[in-house]
Amino acid sequence: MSIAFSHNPASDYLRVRNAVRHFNTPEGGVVKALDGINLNIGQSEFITLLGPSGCGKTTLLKIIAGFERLDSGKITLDSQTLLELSAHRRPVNTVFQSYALFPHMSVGDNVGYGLEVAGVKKPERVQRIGEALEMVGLAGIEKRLPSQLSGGQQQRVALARAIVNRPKVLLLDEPLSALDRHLRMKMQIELKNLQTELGICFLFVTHDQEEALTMSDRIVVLNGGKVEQLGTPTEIYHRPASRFVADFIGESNVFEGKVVRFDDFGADVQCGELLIRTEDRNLITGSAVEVMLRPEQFTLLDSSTSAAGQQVLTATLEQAVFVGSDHQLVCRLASGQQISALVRGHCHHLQVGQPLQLAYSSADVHTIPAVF
Amino acid sequence: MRALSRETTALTLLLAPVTLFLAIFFLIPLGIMAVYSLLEPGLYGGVEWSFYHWNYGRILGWADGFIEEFDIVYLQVLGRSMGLAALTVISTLLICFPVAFWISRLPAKQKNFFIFLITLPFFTSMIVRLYAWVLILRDSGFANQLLEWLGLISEPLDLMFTGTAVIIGMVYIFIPFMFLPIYSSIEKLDMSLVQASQDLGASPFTTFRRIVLPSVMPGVIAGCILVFIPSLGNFVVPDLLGGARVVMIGNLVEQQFLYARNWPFGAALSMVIIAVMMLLMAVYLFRVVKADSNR
Amino acid sequence: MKVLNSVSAGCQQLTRSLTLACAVSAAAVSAPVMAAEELNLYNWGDYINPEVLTRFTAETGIKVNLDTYGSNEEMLAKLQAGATGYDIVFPSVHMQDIMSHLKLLHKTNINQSAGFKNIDPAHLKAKTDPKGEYCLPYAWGSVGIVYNKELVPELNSWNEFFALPEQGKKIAMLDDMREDIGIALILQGESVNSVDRDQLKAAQAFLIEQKPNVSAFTYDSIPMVQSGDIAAAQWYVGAMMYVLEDPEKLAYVIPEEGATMYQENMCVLNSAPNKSNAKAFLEFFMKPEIAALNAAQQANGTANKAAVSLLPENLRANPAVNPPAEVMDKLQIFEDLGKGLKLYDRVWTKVRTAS
Repeated sequence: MSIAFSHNPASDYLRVRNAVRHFNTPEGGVVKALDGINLNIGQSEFITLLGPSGCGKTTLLKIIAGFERLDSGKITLDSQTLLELSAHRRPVNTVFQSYALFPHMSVGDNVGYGLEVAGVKKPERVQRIGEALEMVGLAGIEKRLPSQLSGGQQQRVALARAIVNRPKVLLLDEPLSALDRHLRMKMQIELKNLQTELGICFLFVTHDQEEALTMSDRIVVLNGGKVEQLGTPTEIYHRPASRFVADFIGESNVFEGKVVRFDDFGADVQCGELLIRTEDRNLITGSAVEVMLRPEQFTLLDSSTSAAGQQVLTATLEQAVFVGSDHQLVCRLASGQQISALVRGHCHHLQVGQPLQLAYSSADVHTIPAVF
Repeated sequence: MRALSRETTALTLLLAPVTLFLAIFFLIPLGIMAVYSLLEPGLYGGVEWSFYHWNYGRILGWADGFIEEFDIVYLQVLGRSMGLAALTVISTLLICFPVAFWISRLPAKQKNFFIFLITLPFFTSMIVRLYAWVLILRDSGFANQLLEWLGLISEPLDLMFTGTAVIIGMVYIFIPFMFLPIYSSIEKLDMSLVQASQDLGASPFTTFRRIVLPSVMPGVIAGCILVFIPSLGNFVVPDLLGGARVVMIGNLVEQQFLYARNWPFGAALSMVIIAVMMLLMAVYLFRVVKADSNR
Repeated sequence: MKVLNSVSAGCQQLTRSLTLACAVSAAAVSAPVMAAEELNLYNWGDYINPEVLTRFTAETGIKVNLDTYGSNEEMLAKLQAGATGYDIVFPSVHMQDIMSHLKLLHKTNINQSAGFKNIDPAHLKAKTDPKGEYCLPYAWGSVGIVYNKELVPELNSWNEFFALPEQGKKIAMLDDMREDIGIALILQGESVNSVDRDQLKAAQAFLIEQKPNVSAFTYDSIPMVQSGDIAAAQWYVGAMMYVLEDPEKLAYVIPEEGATMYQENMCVLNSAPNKSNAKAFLEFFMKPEIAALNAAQQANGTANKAAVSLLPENLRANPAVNPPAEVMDKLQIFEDLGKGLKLYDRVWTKVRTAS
């Protein structure tokens, strides 16, 4: 995948060019935290850096903040080269995973710290502290100490302390990871609203794909120090650029196969005994591909429904789990491969071991070039 | 209510060994000293059981009307001892603070090695270690040989039996007492606070002053107290490295208990040392309490 | 004082202070466990020839335990604090007087024993025991000057000693109240036991005047005299041990103005658990060959007249160890000062604190 597909024409506000950072492990090996990263990010985008632990997302954030150096490469922000500036001179602010509130200072002093060291006079400082706290929903707690606050409140204070300085980019290092699920979902929405209100670029690091899909304008999927894909949540979800992205984001059924025929409307891919039709028109006969179908893209056929215009798979039901409005079905194909389907409606009559007809649309079938 | 009284009982029982320990090894000896300091000295050591107020008066300079004239020599020694102790505190602090920072940044293996090095002297007798300094500091000692070899001096410096030697010895002896509390507070320092400060635009100096220093201050103060108190009462180092040239209040106490056979006066001098230390501790505690209530 | 055969005299000066601190706070101090045939000595460090103890045990079958102290004051403080179990102690003469006043000493009637005829009556110096009914004179010596002959070819007097710094040569004195004030009094022609205020004030003035010239007040001067860091130092006759090892370089002299002398006596304690064994040891020590055995190893003086002739030549004929009568007359021994000690304490404090 390439950044050439970028959807934001003004996306050269924050530019990362060929960023490389290797670490030596104590055992003598080398970890490629960043292995040639390129990114173009717009001035008021909510960008999420998503990936498993060790993918380099936190390293990239620290490099932009100035806490880590780069082995080679270049980073510019608003046409200004960042790497020559030491951390305290960079027009970015960070919300730390641990919040990093100064325990010996009151909430007000914490939030006003950046303003104070920047030489902002007290009356203005007091006013801006008040505004920032109000923005995060904590008006009037200036006098308290961080230790007197709940985890969620501390999180908001950390946020206020960062945004009060009006940074060009706000860096967020898994800030929601310590919160419980309910609070986390509430904060996701608030963060997105805050970003819209402020209109500044948020660079948000997480390993939680749901969080990424909820908040982001665009997501950067990182793996092994490389960008796997950069795209909107929809792009990432429905058109993953690699098997890694397909597996990492959401649940997917992937079939390995070979193109056996193509025409103006698509191609047929032979995956073992299975012949799958796709509307992808960029395939040529003989190329190896992986074919992906999301579980929710299947529908369950019974005697009353017809499969007109749809492809059909036959599989044996192994397990049916009720997940709220839907049922998650785990089935096994004749080839032995397991697939997962998410189907709507009543499935109480289904019995384990029973053969099922699963229909899908060839338009939903996404193909990924196979890598050998 | 019942549970509470049970808890109280449990607490009392748990604290009993500590209380007993303090009473036996601290309060009772202290009480003996306090009583002795108000008695008449026995002719051959020990005390006569009659009230005698001259011990404290003598420290303040008043003559006992029989042998002595008004002389504040004891107060001068006390003042000088406090000066020497303060100098020891400052010197150990200046050495330990940067070193503790440096060591705290090292990889765990090296870190442990350096901590081991710093605690190593505890395995050897202090007297033996101070004798090593005699060998280093005397005229033909290593220090002078090195300086001469470097061409910095042509005549050996008088180091041994000077105030300088005493300060060197005291700093050497008390470095671990300053280092360990500072180091442990630096170890506890959350590096993300330092990063947060930088991130918010504070220069390294501002970060140090506003974030690092307040965080490690408890360790620094603990180190200062741990060094100041034994420095003030020390008599071993001045005895060995200062000869009769450097006299600290501890040497006076030693002299009273041994050669002057004047236990009550020695006890009175000790009480003055204790009073000075308690006063300093009280000032410190008062400030801490005040700072806490200000928050 | 009198830590004769040890260069670690200063070390003991400290341990003595440290043990005192313990002695004062802890009333009951452990002492060797008593068995039927035992003898517990409480002596200065390195102040008896171990061979003497071995021979005593071989002859009598009595096991000897040895515990040591660093100063008279330390020993007294420990006993005053209630230490028991010791049989024989080795106080200096003035300390014997003090202990006698404190009724700590046992009347042994040692002067009734046959060997007592060997003891020179001139060494019955304790005022409280003029006939030797209590204690047996043990050893004695002078406190003079040891000097490095490579730096100072010849030295005969205190005046020459105190003139050395003017020639750029360094001198050291003992870190000892009585010894230093004693020298100052000797130079004024006074008694080293004077409690006269004016004489002591003059002594104080003399010491304060000399203080800037004295490079060190220490017990550890021998190595520094050997290395040449110090040209001459006030020290005990025990320095003779080093002089005999290296006579080309070192010398010891009793200055012509006079000097102080020390003497320790062997005393049996009232609290001694093994009084008869203790008396047996005193009698054993009166044998000339035993007294000589000890004096030869310690390089100091013996009060046993018959032992002197048994000493090796270099000690027997040595005027520093066995001075002629006219020199003996110039040696003064410390007496207890009673309340006058307070004057010395004040003088010493003033000297130590003077800059």
